[in-house]
Amino acid sequence: MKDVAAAPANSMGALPQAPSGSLGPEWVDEVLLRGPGGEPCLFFGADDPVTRDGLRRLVQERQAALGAAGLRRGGSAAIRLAPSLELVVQLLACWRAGARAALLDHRLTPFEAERALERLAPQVVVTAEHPVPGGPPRGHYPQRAVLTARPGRPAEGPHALVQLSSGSTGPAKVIGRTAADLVAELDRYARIDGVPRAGERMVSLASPVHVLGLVGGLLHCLHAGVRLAFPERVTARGVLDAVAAGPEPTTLLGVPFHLELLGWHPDPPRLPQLTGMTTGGEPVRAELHEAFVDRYGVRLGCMYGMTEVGVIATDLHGAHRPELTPAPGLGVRAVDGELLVSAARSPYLDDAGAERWADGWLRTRDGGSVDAATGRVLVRGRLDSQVSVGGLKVDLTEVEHTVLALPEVESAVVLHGSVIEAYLVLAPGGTAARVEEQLAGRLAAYKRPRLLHVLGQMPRTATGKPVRERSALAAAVATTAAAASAAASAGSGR
Amino acid sequence: MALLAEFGGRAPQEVPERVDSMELAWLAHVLEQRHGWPLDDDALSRIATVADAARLLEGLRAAER
Repeated sequence: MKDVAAAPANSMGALPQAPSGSLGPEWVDEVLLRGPGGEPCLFFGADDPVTRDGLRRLVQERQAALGAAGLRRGGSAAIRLAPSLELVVQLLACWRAGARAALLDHRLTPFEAERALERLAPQVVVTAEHPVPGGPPRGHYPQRAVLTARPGRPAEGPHALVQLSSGSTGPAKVIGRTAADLVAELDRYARIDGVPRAGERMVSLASPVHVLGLVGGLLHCLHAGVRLAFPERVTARGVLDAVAAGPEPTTLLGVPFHLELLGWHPDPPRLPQLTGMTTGGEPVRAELHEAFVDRYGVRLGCMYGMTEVGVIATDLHGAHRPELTPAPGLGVRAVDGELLVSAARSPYLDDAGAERWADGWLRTRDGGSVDAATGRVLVRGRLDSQVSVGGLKVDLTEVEHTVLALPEVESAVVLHGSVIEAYLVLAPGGTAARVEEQLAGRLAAYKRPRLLHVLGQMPRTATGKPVRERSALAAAVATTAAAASAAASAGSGR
Repeated sequence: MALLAEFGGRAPQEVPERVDSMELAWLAHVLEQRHGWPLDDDALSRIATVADAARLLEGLRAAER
């Protein structure tokens, strides 16, 4: 916990002090919900703004309903809702009840969600009455919650928030953060130059289920007195309409995909209230950065962080690209080309991932270096098989394991080019259509291979391992196609 | 196919049959900006494949004639 006096003055309460342990549930009222009752704080598209009083009332109502479903202080819940006011109030209500909340992405398949619930064993599950319809991405969705009591386990430990991250060797990592961890991250945000302040506005395109949109967006805005808006539609026009809807200085929060989307607008209107945009999730290509700054004439900042820790380093004014300055109070160092970040204890709730933490340092699995003179960090990219799809982290090893586990598949290699691609040899009787169908039940759409290449034979190294080089796999695809064509010609010639 | 291939600067043969939500956002943008065809989310939510997108475009062209 950092020095409270270091936080900038705003309309919200001072950050509570806590040792490394847990804070009581009153932190929700003191840190997140405090503020003038009539002040609008959340904006969901064209819906009426939610005031502080309105938010407090909704949270109290949901807390009562969760209590009626059996959630108690020290209990556990899992929330699987799309970005919405309902998601916000259910999460705050869980925390206000003193319970642990696990956030599950609404895009997970029922198979993935059930596997996660078996692992987490929550006592109450919050889901949506109706699934989100298909279509282009939206900033928020209509969601009505259904509470289901389960024979789960109470929270084992002081954690307030649980999130799952893709596992590089099979099982997902279960990441826990205490209320004190979240408050410490809010303190980092409060001390970073370029983060929106009280009286300003943020339009968030980042899902509040994941750390950037949750802490950098929702929790920071509630804490700091920043008005937070979620656009109706995540199109260039939809986003700019959301910016234009208020006169306050406005920052956009999103991932590089949103920069591309905003770049599609041929002639964006001049919006004097737009002060800049901050992206996270993955580095921004230089040409994309320049195109955005040229077109909109505002600053483009970058954040680097991870689910386990939250924000680690930033360059919110684009002053040191591609280098980033470590967030206040966090230590970052490089060992053998890998970035390590300071963490008082392991963020992992079970064995998966536990080997990544030792002696107060967490291995990020990101390659990089730290400049000895300036302390700035250069992130070079992943050292494992994790990739980013529209800002969402996908571990290719998890995808490959899922493909290989299908009885229709004999061998498979999964790569990421412009999309996730699977090169596979089918087992006798297997078809590509059947593989697609099976994967649709086991992997969320954003994790699924978009291209399936069926091979007659998997190219292998001298030691028998599948070759992962794209050119060799492309040659195998061509060979398979030529063989199929020859067989078809021979068949028609008979 | 050519419209979808523009997303990410791909060759048409690199466009997967299944259309994802980002490609839908791109389609919505292109159809609104270039052709003045505002599409509601209901219409877009019925697009799951390239063939669905082609059918929708055919329908829009036919309605314009």
